[in-house]
Amino acid sequence: MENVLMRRFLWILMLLGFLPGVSVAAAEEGVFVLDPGHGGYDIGIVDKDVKEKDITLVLAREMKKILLTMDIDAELTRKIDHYQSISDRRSVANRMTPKLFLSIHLSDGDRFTVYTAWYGKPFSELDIREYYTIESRQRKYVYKSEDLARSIAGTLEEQFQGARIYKRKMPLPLISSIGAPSVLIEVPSTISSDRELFRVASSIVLGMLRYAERNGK
Amino acid sequence: MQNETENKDRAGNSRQDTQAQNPEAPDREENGESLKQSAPRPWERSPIKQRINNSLFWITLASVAGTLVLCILVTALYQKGKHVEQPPRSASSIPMTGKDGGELVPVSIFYPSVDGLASEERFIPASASRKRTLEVVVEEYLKGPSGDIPSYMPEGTRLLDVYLGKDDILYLDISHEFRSGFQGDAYSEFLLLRGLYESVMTNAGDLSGMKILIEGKEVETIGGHISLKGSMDSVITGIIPEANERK
Repeated sequence: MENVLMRRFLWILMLLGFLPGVSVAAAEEGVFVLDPGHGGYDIGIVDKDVKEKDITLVLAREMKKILLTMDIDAELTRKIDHYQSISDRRSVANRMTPKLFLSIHLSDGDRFTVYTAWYGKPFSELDIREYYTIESRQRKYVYKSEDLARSIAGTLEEQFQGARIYKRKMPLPLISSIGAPSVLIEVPSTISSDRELFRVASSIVLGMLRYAERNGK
Repeated sequence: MQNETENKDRAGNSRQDTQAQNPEAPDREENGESLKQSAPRPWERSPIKQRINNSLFWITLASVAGTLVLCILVTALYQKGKHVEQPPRSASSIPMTGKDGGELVPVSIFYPSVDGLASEERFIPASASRKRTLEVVVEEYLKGPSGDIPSYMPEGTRLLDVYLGKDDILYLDISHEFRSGFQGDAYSEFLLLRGLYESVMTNAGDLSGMKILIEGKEVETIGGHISLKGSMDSVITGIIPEANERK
């Protein structure tokens, strides 16, 4: 019943122009892996009573719900509040053979930041051993990941006009070792109400779907 | 006597030569003109005039020498004045002493700023021990930035120990607050670690790498974003990522 309501809600959004041009079928194949940042004793940023580990889990669950209502398979790297190391998350995500990977965090201000992997050494200078290290899995998806980041940032720009939205490349170990287009997104820590969180979740999902449609996934 | 004869001969020869070169030239000696010109002039004969001439010569010479000396003195004074007017030397080039009279040396400490790293100059006691210098550099870094610059340094963070490996990798053992007290996003964590890395590497000379331990143990991360596994230079070196603000 809840799924039907959600689907109807999304169709209404589409009709109103919030989800223009997205073909749900385009993203039906493959698993979208969502990674709620932090967890357990690693609480992340704390703002008043709000903890980053809780907000990221709420956002990830919300996104999964939206994707499932569109018949898109989605999985979380952690489903409850427990500590998970970066290498555990990497293993869990890669085992799922994701089509897309999104790690969710909070920024320490009122800005959105979308990160993609950055490597110190250019692709052309890698030797064969470096190419096959776990940390290098992202290398062949770097351009696709940048496209995914552009798509999500573009959608956030549409939905949150006037918000500060950044794109950065950083040597982040988690997204550097995922064998799929991957980004790490930071949501403003000032956002905490259910309504705002749903709006953020649906906007990010829309960005992912637009990317998936462009790339035929 | 012989000289007089020789002079006369030279004069005779000279005349002969002149006539030989220009046969049509009139013989001026015969007209009496030569006698008038060759006669000593009055002032040449007067000892008073000669003295005046000599005096004038020496006065002129003394004036020229005096002017030169004056010019040299003025130039020297001007240079001295210019030296005084020069701005004071930078803090780093002035030898400083501490409260105990020991010499202080400048070090550069790097901190996260609005968008990147900013450096501060601090003075630490000069030490013959490289390990001690590195300890003080890290302790200075852990104090956080001075002034009103917001600090991401977790409160209560202490340096527990410093080990310099045989492979010239520096191991920093830092208290648990560095990890448990960190509050920040991925970029803040990156800059905090990069600031520590730059502070050590800039003041340490030729280290081959740096590694952070928390309470003596290797940890995966301090903030959940950047990896501390392995040497930091493989994770954190390279350019500082610039933000590409869309809006």
